[in-house]
Amino acid sequence: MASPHQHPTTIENLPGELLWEILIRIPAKPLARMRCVSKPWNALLSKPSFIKSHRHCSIEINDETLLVLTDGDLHNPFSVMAHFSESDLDIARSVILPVAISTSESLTVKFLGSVNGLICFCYRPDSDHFDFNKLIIQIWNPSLSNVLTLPPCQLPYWCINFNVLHFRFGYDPKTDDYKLVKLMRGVKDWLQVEVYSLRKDSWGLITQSFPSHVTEIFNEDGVYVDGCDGRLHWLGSVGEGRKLQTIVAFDLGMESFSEISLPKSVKDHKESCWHSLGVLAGKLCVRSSSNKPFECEVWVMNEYGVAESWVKHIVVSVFRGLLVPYELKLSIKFLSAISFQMQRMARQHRMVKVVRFGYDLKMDDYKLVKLMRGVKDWLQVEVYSLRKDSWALINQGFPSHVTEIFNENRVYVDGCDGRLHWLGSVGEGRKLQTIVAFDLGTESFSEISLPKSVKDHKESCCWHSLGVMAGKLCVRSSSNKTLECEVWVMNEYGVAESWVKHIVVSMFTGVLIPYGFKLSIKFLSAISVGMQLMARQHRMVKVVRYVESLVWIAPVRSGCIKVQSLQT
Amino acid sequence: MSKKTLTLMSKDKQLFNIEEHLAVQSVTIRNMVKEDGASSVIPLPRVDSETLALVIEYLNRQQAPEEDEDYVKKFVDERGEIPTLLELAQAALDLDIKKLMDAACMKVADLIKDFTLEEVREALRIENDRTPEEEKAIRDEFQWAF
Repeated sequence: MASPHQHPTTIENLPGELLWEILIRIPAKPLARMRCVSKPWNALLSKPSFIKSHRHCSIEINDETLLVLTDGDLHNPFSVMAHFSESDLDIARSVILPVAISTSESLTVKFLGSVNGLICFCYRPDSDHFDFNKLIIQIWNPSLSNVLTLPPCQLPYWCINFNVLHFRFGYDPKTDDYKLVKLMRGVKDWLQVEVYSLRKDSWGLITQSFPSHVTEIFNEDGVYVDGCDGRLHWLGSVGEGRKLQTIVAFDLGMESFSEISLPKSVKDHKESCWHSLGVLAGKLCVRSSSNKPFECEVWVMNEYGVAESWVKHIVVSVFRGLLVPYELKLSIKFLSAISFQMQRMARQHRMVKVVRFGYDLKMDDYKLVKLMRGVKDWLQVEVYSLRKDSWALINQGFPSHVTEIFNENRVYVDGCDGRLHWLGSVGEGRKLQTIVAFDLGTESFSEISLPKSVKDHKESCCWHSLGVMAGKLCVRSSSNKTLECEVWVMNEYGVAESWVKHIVVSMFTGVLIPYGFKLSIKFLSAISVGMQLMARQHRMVKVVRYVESLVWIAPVRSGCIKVQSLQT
Repeated sequence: MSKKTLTLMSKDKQLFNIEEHLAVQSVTIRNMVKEDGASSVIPLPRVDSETLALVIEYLNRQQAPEEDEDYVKKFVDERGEIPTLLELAQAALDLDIKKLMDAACMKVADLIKDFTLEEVREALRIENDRTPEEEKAIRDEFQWAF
């Protein structure tokens, strides 16, 4: 604050600190031009400390930009796309890879990694499918549109696919160097590891070998684990049979391997579980997903390298399919046990379309309701009472204009004062939907109107399900098109006018969970759907953060395609 | 509850009153208040009165937290002149008001990023210290960025 100068802080003597704050906010390419402004500017802009500050600032500014990289044919215009969170998925910008395309021959591209805005990828001609010696590896700075072709690395003649060849790209802050690590699995053991250094622009063999008891590594995590202070990480399995898993770390500065234990409960690999590595708030983490129960745990290693410091950070229920228990206080485990019981029961009553279980508050009785649809109409409804321990037919029939009920919510809507609820459709064609309620006390049916906007069922893109939220009947309406899910709550039971749109949640489906991004859920889910679409076309898709990088890796050569800066 | 008021003095000796709880959004002022209670007038010898009026206007804003981001963006957008923005950015930097400083610097960066070299030099009063030969050499080196 205190300044010896009493000069005005006008532009005549623009203070260095202010200049710094302004320049770190300028995108990489215009900044490259500004090196020509004056000699002091040139010196400032090539300072390592400035480059570092610029990188940190760019991460903040571009926090909502992702690059989606798709392996496959290079001539595919969608091989690299930039996604901005504020824009729709449809108007993602396609970015052209800077490869010198001399011929029209088909090239297959594979992305090897990305760190601090630099992207490493390789490609080879399709015609020489088995000739890996024609593999060309490049490092690309999309923000400066410059590219560097790496000198060839050692590849034995028998290397014909990427099952045995693993690349990882990373940055070492200690030596301020970018490195590419090449791992190769021979018939029995790992071959000597080769490392490319951008500073040296050459490959070198390292002395330490890859831990030989790790027989397989899983390279397909969609998220690159490149944080953690210049260390790369692989998730691998020990011995045969994929039973035991471990993390292998590589220190890019020291060029040495070490091993990190997984959390105890994650280590033993169960058939129904799968793991992947990530970075959460700058810390190494592992995500463990399970089919049974439908859960996904995220473990964070609080103190790097200390196995005791693994802490279970979050447990997310994986809501696959139709299981959506709003505000159920039951544990997921309990729910699935119940659901299993029900299925068994349903199997025993083969013809039975629907069995519903509920509690009648007034009579303090548990009842099971059995609905059966005949060829043309519903059969007489049977109710089991736990108090009487017997089944009995009831007088009132199920509303006959409701021709189909959707029982697929595996959640019991049994709150609402001893009433069961079904979501059903009226007439043919599933066009109009309604709610049928059954009062367990009086054993009678009634009907409840859905909210207007939900009532008309749109065939392909919407689906509804019932739930209970804060003790009130609610309906969830999900849409494929807008990727949103509305929850309507009926504030006054039975009064159609009291439906209120409670929340609109963006859906999150699929496998994409890039920990560490601060992006909006909406954006993520849009991306995630895009990923699924692309994955369906059998192409590997990777998502990386877009960062403006000032690393002048090479002058642009003739023949390279200039890419426009990604800044909007 | 009576709100405590602080008095800030600009470079040209003009006095501005501001409620203390609003003024301490500036980390610099907060530290001064903490140190000596700042009962009297706080002198800001590097901030002129026009700029200080702007800073006070910003500190006095009554924005909901979720609208704050948009507010500060609009606030600097309305002061699109580079000299004003530089003064504002410098004051925000000195007074350590991060959001205002971020927004003002971002705005200057956005304005000058598409400028020609000559326009950059003129806007920021930078002297071209290269000879025509030197200038040609470095322009050739960075030709790809133009």
